[in-house]
Amino acid sequence: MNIAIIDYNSGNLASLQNSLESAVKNNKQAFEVKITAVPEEVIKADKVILPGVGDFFYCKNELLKINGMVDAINYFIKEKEKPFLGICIGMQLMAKVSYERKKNKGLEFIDSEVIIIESESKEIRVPHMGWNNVYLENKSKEKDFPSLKNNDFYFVHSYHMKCKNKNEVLASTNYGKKIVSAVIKDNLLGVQFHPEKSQEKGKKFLEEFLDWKPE
Amino acid sequence: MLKIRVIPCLDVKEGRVVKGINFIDLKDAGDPVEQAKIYDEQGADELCFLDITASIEKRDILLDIVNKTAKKCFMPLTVGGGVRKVEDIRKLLYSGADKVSINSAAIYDPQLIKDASNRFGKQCIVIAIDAKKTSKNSCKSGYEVFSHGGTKETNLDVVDWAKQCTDFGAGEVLLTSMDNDGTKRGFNIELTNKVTKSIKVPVIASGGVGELKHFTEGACETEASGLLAASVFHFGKFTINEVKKELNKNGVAVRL
Repeated sequence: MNIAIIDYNSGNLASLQNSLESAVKNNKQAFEVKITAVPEEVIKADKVILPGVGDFFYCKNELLKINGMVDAINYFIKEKEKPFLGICIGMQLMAKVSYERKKNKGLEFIDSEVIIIESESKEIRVPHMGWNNVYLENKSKEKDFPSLKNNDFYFVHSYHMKCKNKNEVLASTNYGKKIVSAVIKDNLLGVQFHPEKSQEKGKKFLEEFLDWKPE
Repeated sequence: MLKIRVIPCLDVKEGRVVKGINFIDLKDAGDPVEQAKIYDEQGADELCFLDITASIEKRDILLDIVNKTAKKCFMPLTVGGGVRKVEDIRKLLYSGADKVSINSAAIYDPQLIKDASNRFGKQCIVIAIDAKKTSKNSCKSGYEVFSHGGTKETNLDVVDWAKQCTDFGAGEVLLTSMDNDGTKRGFNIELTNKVTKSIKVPVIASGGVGELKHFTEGACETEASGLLAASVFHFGKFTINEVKKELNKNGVAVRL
């Protein structure tokens, strides 16, 4: 099985690859993890991961710079209907629109907007940085993603995704108020936290993604 | 609930972990990659890696160590020491650092904070501040910022400087009390509070830990988001786990 990590100059790919390879070791199937900037490789893959750190505006521009990459992502998600995972900005890019820096369209897979984390007290510092609980909201997915049932994951972000459809919220986290920490829509999965930086629980989640067979 | 972070720090000199008492009298505590692995296993919330004698010629050694460390660690990694240009930051991030801490270069070229923050996002730009008590009129908070590993006075007030850093796009402040560093008498509560009260980004308190109760003091008496220590962990005085158990026992939210 081929896993493609999209390389678009926007993230710490080495740590994601390390973490995935470590998760792969615990899996019975044979996996090959490939970092790629080639749209054809993305289309050919069995599972695709879109990482992303930094800001939405920058990441989107970098993604658009690769000729055919957005089309490949669209094709992979909508036509091939195979498992796709967005991490951090990679998840936020799935939104309809982001308000980071200025209003900017996303890839519009999930009816949502990306807005700043409001801080009304010194306890709610921004960026939201560190380990926080993730609570599974969509209980019907518990068998696929048991790791998301009240465990600590590592977060680092200043903006969060606000979803229109409640059933697309897979998990949430409390930071001042409830924020979305994972989304799901058919074969599309997104997490606001960084599984590749979340030690054992993060590896567990990546293993679950490797095993995931969307309905 | 967001947990307080317990952060071991590896002070590295020419590829080896050392820890100085008051920045001098260095002792060797081993291989940085091996140490990092131990901290990963102990459940550290983050790892900080400071190249304390960074120079351009030594840069490649650091990149190589960062790379090897990142391969063994599945926790966030902050790297600092001798960062002068946007290109230095890019190389460190590319080698596996998640955050880069800037100290002296930010003081002499604050535009670097802006450029780095715009290019890589504020979440990976940490400003390290070394501060020392002073009676200088220019430093209203009573603490002055020092550069170059604590050797040069800057006449900058620590609160003013911390505010300026966050205005320029710093995502986190790593605050070291030079008065307390290496003394084992606990964090500088007063200094930490002055800074946390004036800015909204997370602050990591550093300098002075000698006993378990110092972590509880740091967590309960300040608004620090993270507590950093070096020598107490290196020399095995206690483990990350023991620190977390102690914090938990005192009602502080930690990741166990």
